[in-house]
Amino acid sequence: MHLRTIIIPAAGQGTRLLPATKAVPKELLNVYDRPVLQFAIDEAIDAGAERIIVVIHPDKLVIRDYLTPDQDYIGRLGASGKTMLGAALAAIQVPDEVDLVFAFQNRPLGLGHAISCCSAMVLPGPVGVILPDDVIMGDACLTQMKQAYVGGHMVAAMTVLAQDAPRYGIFRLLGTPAGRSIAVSSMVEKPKA
Amino acid sequence: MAAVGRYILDPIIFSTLLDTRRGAGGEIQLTDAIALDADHIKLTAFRFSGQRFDCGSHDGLLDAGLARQCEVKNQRNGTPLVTGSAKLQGWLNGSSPPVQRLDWRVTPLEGSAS
Repeated sequence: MHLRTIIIPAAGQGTRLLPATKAVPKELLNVYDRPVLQFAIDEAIDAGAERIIVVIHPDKLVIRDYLTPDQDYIGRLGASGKTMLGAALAAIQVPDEVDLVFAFQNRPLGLGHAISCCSAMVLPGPVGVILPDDVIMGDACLTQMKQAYVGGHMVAAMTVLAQDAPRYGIFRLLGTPAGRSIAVSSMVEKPKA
Repeated sequence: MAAVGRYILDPIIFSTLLDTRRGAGGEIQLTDAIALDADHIKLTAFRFSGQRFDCGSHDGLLDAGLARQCEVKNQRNGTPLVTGSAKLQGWLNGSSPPVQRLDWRVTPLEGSAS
């Protein structure tokens, strides 16, 4: 199965991470040596995306700046002997064969709305979505899902403590698991405890 | 089981979203649209392997940074990747955070008594 389009919603306000997010998008805060967003970009490339759509708010154009290749800068670093730093910068460039585009979400109307903003830009077939806030280390999550996907909607799932359930979308499970896949009858966003 | 931020969506979602009313927090929730579609198309939960960090929170961002640090340093030292390391999985899943194990990071300050 080809997952031709992958959407990365990055238009949120990041209020939980104030005060830094007053000036810096949360997607560009560092996880040790690279920004949160880079994990999502790499996962999308790993899953074989032909087109990556990053959804941003018009006030967060710095995200576009981050993703724009800067060959001159890489060249200058190389020329001044900082080859390793140049290589680190070159390593984040999206391969030429991947189409990186931006969609604008002007109003904070939720994740559903962010996905809607991409409707005219998606390629035919199923669409992948990576929420960059959820950094997943280990085998690339969306690639695992792609390999198990057999149509319909598929959502990544993990077990949480009952007391934490109100912070998540929660599944109503239908049957017994088949490998890592479980049929679901429904899901509900942030159920009351 | 709880939903985590990875989805593979049938393109029917785009028309469903147009009909989805504002839900929790006055926002158009993707979860609501998925639940509407579940009446007529297959819905699957996928238990992924790997460790998830909520990098929209201070704690999650720090935990992810520490896990990433272990990964990078291990790679540099030529030891196997963190992702395959039972030891680190133990740290990640256990009660003690990796930071307590990173003793080798602690070096005496310059000028301090030795």
